[in-house]
Amino acid sequence: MKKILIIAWKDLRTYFVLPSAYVICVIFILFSGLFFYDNLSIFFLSKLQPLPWEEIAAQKDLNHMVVQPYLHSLSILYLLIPVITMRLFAEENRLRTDELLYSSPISSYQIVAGKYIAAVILFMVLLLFTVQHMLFLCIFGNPDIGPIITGYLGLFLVGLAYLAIGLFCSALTDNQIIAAIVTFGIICFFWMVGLAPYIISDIEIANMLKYFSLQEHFHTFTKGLIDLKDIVYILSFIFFSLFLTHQTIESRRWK
Amino acid sequence: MNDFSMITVEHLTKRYGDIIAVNDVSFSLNKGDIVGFLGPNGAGKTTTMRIITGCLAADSGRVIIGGYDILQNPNEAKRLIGYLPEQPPLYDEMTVSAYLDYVADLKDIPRSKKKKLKYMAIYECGLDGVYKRLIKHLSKGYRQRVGIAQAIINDPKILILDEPTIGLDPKQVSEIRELIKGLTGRRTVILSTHIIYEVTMICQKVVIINKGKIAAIDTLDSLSSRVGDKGKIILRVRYNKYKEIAGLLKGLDGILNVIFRNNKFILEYPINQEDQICESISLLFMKENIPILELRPERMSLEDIFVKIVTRDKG
Repeated sequence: MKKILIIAWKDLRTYFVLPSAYVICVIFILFSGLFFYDNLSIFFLSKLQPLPWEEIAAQKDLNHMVVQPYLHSLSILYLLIPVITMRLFAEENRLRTDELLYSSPISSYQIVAGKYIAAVILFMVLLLFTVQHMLFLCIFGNPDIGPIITGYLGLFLVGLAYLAIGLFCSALTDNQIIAAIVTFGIICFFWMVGLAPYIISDIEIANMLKYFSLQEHFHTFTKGLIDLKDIVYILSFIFFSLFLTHQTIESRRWK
Repeated sequence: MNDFSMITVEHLTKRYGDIIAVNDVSFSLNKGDIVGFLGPNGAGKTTTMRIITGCLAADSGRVIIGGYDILQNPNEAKRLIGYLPEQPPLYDEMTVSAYLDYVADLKDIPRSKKKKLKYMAIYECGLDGVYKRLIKHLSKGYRQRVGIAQAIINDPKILILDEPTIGLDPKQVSEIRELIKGLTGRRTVILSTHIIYEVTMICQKVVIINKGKIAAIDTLDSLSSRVGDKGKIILRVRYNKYKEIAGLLKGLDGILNVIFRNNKFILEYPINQEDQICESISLLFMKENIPILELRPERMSLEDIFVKIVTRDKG
């Protein structure tokens, strides 16, 4: 465990020594603030208009009009994930610093775990920046807390899955840019595959593809539901990606 | 394997596709051995070293470091090794001090010893003046020093250095050589290089690798006797009747051949009779009253040996 933390601490420090973490933070804070402002102002505007039906009035609470769309728009955080994970292994491979790791008394799984934790911590820091908006809502309004918590849980878990895939892509190459682009492509795939029902007429295949989409699983969380099947899918996604990363690292020794 | 054996390499083979990088390499090094790995570029030196340090796995064969198999007990084996790869594994964005802390943690150095070992490495590698600076601001010579510092930070029993002087300017090269010489002491050292002078300066033993195979493994002295059985003596005298002198020399016991070239005689003789031959030559010319200007046995340099072994293998 100690070794995992040594690697994690080193990589986390690297994020904050280089400008990358700050750039990611600034971009993300800017956009998350913008989305929050946008959703909130729509909510206020709708309050000014008379409501024709009772059931529509019921839909116009904070949770439906602000929290849910806001959490959905926070998915842009996933587009920053390639930037978070791209350097983790690719840079070590390029600078041949991997030889230091391999010749040290440390196992491949500790290296993978350490780097993954570093990325996860940076991701959590980014998520923390958005908590202020929710606090703001709780202080000045009374949203339903449950869906907020499950929404964050979903955002976090899906982020973990994308981070794991990013780590895997970084291990495949010694070029950060390629790692980032491939990660971006895979993230887009698991995002867009949920749109399959709109394109494919065969319902069974479409539903199966939809099940692969991480965004679909995230959607359940934002509604305030914690479904075991979502959690199982996401966790197996994470473990499988990390397992592939570990195998990639090991196979470099046998090439 | 005996008690003193620090590194035992048995039948290592490593292929990259169709190319055999290392082909059935076996050797054993004892405690305190300082060994030069000599070979042309692409001979398999780096691959062998990477296998020994556990960075790479061999297709077959095994490596035993201080009694531990590198694949079965990697952590115990790796704790005994300090390794400087061809390109020192440095992180540009760290300071020398932070980098050495990180390496010390990776190498399981207990907290109580960490500070002492770190400052010893800094001191031994002459990094006193720069250890607070970022690695990216260091010159190539200093980067190499930091690389060596990371290799010795755990006070390893085995030090493996892959081409430590490559790409440095002549002043830095000699500084790094001096530094390595100072580090040998009680350690078992493997130094790979294609610069022969480096080996003669630092090492006692030589392993010559060519095309993935060990072409020769011996001490420097016995290598030279192995390659040829004839030695050469260069002789220059103040006398211009060269034919007469050649006749005199041919009459001497033990002289196999006399060649006259550029006003010098080159005498061939059986290699282990150097002293007797020199003695009889000087006595002969004293008797004849011919002044000797130069009398010099020409030992075969490692360079000649190396070329001879490498080219012999080609045939």
